[in-house]
Amino acid sequence: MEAVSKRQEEKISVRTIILTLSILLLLLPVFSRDYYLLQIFVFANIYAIFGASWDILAGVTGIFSFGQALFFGAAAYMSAALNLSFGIPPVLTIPLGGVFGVAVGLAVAVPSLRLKGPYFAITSLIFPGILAGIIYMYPTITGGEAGKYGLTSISNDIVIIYYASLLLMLAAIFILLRIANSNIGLIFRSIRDDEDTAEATGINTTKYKFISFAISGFFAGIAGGFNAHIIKSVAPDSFSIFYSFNAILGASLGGVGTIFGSVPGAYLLSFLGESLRGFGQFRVLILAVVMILVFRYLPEGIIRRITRHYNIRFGLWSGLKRLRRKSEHGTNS
Amino acid sequence: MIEEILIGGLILGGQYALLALGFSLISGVARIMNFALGALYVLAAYLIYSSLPLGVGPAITASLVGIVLISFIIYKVLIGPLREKEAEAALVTLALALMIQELVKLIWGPDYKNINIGISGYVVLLGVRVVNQKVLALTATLVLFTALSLFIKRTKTGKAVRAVSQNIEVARLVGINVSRVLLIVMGISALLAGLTAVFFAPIVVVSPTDWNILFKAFPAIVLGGLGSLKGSVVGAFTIAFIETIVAFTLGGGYLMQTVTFVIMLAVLFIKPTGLFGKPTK
Amino acid sequence: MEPILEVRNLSKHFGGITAVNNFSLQITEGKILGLIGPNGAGKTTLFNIITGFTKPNSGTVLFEGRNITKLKPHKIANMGLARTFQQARPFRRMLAIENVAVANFSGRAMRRRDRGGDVLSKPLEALRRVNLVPPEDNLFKLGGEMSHGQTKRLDIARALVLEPKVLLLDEPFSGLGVIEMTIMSSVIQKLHEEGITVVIIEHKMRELMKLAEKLVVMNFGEKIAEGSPREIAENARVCEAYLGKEGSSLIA
Repeated sequence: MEAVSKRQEEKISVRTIILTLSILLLLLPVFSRDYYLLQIFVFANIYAIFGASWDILAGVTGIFSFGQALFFGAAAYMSAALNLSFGIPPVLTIPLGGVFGVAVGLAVAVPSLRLKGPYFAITSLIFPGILAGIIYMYPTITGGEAGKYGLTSISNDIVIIYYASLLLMLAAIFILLRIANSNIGLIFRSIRDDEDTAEATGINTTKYKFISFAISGFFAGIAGGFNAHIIKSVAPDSFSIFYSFNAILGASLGGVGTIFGSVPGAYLLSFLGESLRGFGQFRVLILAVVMILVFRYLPEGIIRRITRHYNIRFGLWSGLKRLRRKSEHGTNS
Repeated sequence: MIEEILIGGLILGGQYALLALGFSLISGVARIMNFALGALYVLAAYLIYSSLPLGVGPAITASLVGIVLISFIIYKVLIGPLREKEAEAALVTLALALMIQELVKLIWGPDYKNINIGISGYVVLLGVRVVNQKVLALTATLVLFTALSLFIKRTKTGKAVRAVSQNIEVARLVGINVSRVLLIVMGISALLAGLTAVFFAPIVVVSPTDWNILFKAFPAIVLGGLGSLKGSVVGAFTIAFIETIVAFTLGGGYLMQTVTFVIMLAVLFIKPTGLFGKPTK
Repeated sequence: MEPILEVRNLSKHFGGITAVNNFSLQITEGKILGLIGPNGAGKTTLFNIITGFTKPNSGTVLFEGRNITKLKPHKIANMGLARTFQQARPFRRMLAIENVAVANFSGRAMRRRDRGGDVLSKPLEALRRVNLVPPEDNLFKLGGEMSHGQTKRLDIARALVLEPKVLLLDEPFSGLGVIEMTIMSSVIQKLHEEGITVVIIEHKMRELMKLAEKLVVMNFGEKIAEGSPREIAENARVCEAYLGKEGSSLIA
């Protein structure tokens, strides 16, 4: 099984890189306590989780949705409601926001069963708008256009917030990666590649689509809840299409379907956005140009480009490990 | 009130329809969502604005020609090479729309502009006072739709477009120059976007961020069915009427949007490929 | 003996076109049945109806005596009725071994496998049965990278992991070269020897005649003849409509 051994070896060196980067990130506050800098990382981490939540649905399961902001905003409002009305602390409201995200995800899964690919994609643009519309219609409860503010902060110390966001991001990415490489991930990918064949193979595609939506909604909800407690407010613009595109762009820059790619993607977007502040009115323009260049010349995303160069196959299914072990023990398979 | 709803719906429908046609054409044929079309609409309006000193006629011509040429460049450089990767192509057009928006902001400033090329005066239809420009716009929409339909059905190029929209591989095997067809489709879509600016910009004001008017066209296209020109027009008018009716009876703003969306979802549940949609591959 | 698979009075129309017209058929367990007819005769539509991808306008489908007409495709597959598609449809972005292993997570396989069982043994065995392995390197080929003939056998391997009782093959020989056709033929023959009931839609008459114990001829959605290959070849009506010289020459 030379082919697998080689790949495993290369994957290990990728693991080393990831480990090194993680350690660097963990040590960052040792070198700098700049509020502004740490805050950029915090948002980058949030958007990384958000992007990965989109990626498991679109990149792995093949369900392209333009409405990821729906889960984000819904969880944000739920967290806000729990926090402001019942005084529940962020450490609980954020996971509960995630749970609410699951519910919303399952709700959105229903129309996805009826509507095929592009139809669902375009329709999903509208879902966040529906919820936003409802929010506007009942301003007394929801705070309407101005939204609600005054959420409890996660901590007074930016360093603690930084670590919270980093650990949350690492945990989320780790879990999502494990899912993507698991047996369920295998099934997700079969649905992505050919749904009819998956059905003919005895896979209950409906059930697994629901699961994918639930997972996606959960992590998008976590991101939304966390975000709400960072900016200490919620407003209808949490449902804005620009949040949805943020998730998609971040994941796409890194590489759709890699899960992992959302991290460099989100970091790139965040730092690019911030570093361009000096350019004033040219800022968004330059950002747009960069995005055009990346999508045009690196359509497979940055991570895939790099791993392709090293001939690493991304997303090794965990089941393949047994093949390697078999070869090591000299069994003729 | 019924008359007001009728006329109001018609006018609004015309605006949505024209834009929906362009988008529907390119997404149905090239299977690419081209978000940049909305930006081209804005660009066309601003080009007219700047060219007005040349006179209304020349300004319109210059703007339309410019838009079509720009769309060709966009296609050749950005979209064409990404044809196999629909999702990435869509993202490029999104970034492109953003870029055009910023360029327009930089060149012309962020405020809205009035494009005063319309014809003045009004006429009274069914007891409702309607600005002449609006009647002209609606007529233009219907004429263009008819022209486009005839083009698709009767002309040789039009039939090639239909072939490509149904099956690119087979079209190529039959000897159709697929690249050229796609380029033509791009050009027609851009032209439609430009014409939307010509006929409707005088009615509304134009600002750099108006490319998201495209998101108004989406419900129309989905409702009517992807790939169906007739469907886009019917969908556009349906959406427009729903919006108008709700605005008049229940109140405008967000309620109107929400109701429209909900109705759209309901229709799609019954017919998932839209009213006239052809089943996708 | 009760037929393992039976369709009664199936009808299906799309808009103005009648694809299947009052079609009835009984399939005996363990046999190889060939389904032939001109293009557009309704054969694939019939497969789609049987396997739950299309709902008929009227009629019933019975599998092992149970009415499966309204069931979803995955349920039918999990009952032991598997199919392949006319155009080979591998999971393009997944490795060959992954392609086949997906079947391990079907309801049917999950019920059969003992807890903590080996995820790979049945897929590997299936790949061996269709002669895709050895060479071992094939395991790591992407579905999208394989040759046409290989993907067709990959589809069969995937269906085999389901341990089906009945296998519906839609044009297994189409697009294959001579050598691949021989391999495919022997694969199907082996399946037959293992007791699997096989129904084959095919246009390659020479290959089909060698395998099929019974033929059913379909045209315009109707059954126009049924019988042994010899009987069909001699059937004047069939010869006129479809077989022409090719069929007649095969009996000689």
